[in-house]
Amino acid sequence: MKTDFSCCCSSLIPSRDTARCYLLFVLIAFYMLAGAAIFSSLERPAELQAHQLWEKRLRDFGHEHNISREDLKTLLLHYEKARTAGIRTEPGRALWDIPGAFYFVGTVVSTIGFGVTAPSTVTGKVLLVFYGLLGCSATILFFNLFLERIITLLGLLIFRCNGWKTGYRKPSVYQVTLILFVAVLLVACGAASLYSAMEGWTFLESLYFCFVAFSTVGFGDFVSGQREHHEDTWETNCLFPKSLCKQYSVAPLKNQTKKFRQVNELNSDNM
Amino acid sequence: MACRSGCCCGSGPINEDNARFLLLALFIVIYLLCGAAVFSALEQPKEREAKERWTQRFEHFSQKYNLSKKDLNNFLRNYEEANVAGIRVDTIRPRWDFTGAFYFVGTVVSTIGFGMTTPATIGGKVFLMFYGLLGCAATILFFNLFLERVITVIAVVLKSCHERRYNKAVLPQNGRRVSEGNKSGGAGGSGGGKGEDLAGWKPSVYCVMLILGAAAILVSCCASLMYSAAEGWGYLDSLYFCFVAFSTIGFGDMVSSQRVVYEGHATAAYRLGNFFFILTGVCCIYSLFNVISIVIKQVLNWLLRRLEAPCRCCFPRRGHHPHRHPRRNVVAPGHLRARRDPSIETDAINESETDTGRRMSGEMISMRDFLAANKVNLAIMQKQLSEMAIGHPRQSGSSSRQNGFSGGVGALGIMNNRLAETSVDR
Repeated sequence: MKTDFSCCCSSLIPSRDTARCYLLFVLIAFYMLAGAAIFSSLERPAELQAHQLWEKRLRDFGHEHNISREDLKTLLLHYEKARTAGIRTEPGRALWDIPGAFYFVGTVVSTIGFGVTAPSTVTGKVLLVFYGLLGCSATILFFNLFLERIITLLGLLIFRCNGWKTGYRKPSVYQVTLILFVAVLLVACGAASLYSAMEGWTFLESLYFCFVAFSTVGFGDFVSGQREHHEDTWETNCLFPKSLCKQYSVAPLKNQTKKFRQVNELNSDNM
Repeated sequence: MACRSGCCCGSGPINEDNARFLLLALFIVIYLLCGAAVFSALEQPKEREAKERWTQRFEHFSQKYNLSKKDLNNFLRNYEEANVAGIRVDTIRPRWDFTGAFYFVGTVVSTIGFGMTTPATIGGKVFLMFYGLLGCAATILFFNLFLERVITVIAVVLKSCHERRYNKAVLPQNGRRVSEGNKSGGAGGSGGGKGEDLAGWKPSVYCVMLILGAAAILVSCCASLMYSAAEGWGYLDSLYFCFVAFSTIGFGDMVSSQRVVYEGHATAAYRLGNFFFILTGVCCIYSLFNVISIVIKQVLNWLLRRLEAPCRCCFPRRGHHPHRHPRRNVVAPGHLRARRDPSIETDAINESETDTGRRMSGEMISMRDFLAANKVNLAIMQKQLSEMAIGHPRQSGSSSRQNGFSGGVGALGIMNNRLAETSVDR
């Protein structure tokens, strides 16, 4: 693709790798714009409704008990501060006892970051930065090694299934993606049934929570294991790492398929 | 495989990759437990304080206005519902207008997930699951490609610095070139042409880590200046926010760019700056994490070697690793054949990363590393092999560098050569 120009134009033509990077950036930008438009149209009506409802409730409460708007606002500001320290109207488990802190560091190193528990002391915040630096790197390595082990295992299984006929062949990315996808679905459905039973969410909400947690997005609108039952937290906590690994593995594999498609596009452009 | 007593043969039947995986899992669990203990000790007092303070205020308020606790709780529950829909006491920007939705989508695909905006409708939740699957994968690919590009750029820059230093040492004294060449730099002891010695040179992991770390700190500091000016946070709080956002943890306790208007008519500029800084910051920190994970992997390899050393006598490993035995300068055909049979369990084809941890200077080059890392064709390979047979330690310097990058970095690097579509020899 690089031709020899006598002028300096040749340095402006990007290499294939850089072009791929730019192309991907542009595609993602379009994807985000389209997503923004769709979400906006889906959610905006509900938001306006929620605003109206809250205004009405605020007004009614103030009138009914003869409380000034200012005082209500002050109370709510205090409550907002209390929420960041973890207080809720429903009595919930303690946030910073050892199991709670363990859940917290789990959300940190996996980069899920629900936000239900977040450090409020200055020392805690400083410690978080250094702790997270090492912990997140180790966990990224863990997920990568997990992916590697899975691919090796799958390759071996496929090899055995073929009856040792054709000699060892590396698994195709599509095979691995499909198998991982099915595995993730199974784990998500299993987890969702557990959560909907324990947390009182609907099955769809539990699936949504599974997706949000396992993809490490971690909004924090739904968080498991926050009620006061202590028996179920261990099961839910154990389910997490396995499903995380699976989810984290699916994404890079999808990358590969995307990457190859892009390379093919660029290749066909070159020809 | 029976073992004599007196050596730790726990790793006997486990192959090295599994051992490394399990060792890492163990360390992470220990790290989590220690972290839990420390954070708990730091934060629990404050939690108790906050609870007491709130209980007091609650009591005070319900007494002052003669409200039943139930009524007040109901009111607060309503407020919680409103919170989930994105309402706060102070007026903030709309959640779901186009720019708000764009911010939301950004937090989804980058997996930061602050949580200040979350879909409330069922349609939105279902759409999110499918949208996120593709979006997150594409963005992870983007970060990985960015990481690759950054490492390439750093490698090019460092290499040209290296070359310049090497040239300065060698060229002025043409007469004594050979002996100079032997003394200069660690790039290789040969007196060969400048290009040849540095052909396979790759930057060291530690160098790249330092550079990325410096870049991350620079970006964070600049971003914190902007945030503390615009949002009114303290500088330390802004740094904390930067770390939480750029590492994609995204607690949501602090979120930037939530006000309707910022002073000085800088709203649009600030929102753009916010987007730009988060993008750059996430790329830098993601790259930094991946590079640190390479260092951690090398530490694990080193540990495994130390643990296995006493056991080496006990069992002949299936994983053969001939470079543990006395070095040889020639690539013997027997070795090649043994290595070429893919030992599925020990994953012999793909250990370029771990091999650099084990190779010492003056080492022979393995065929598979050539194929995997350099995609060299047969003619060039034969040329290099013949040079080595003459005893010309041409590549010794470059291959002796424990840089950890030869297999590629990150998730893409892991899959390099492991799948049918990513292998050199299809």
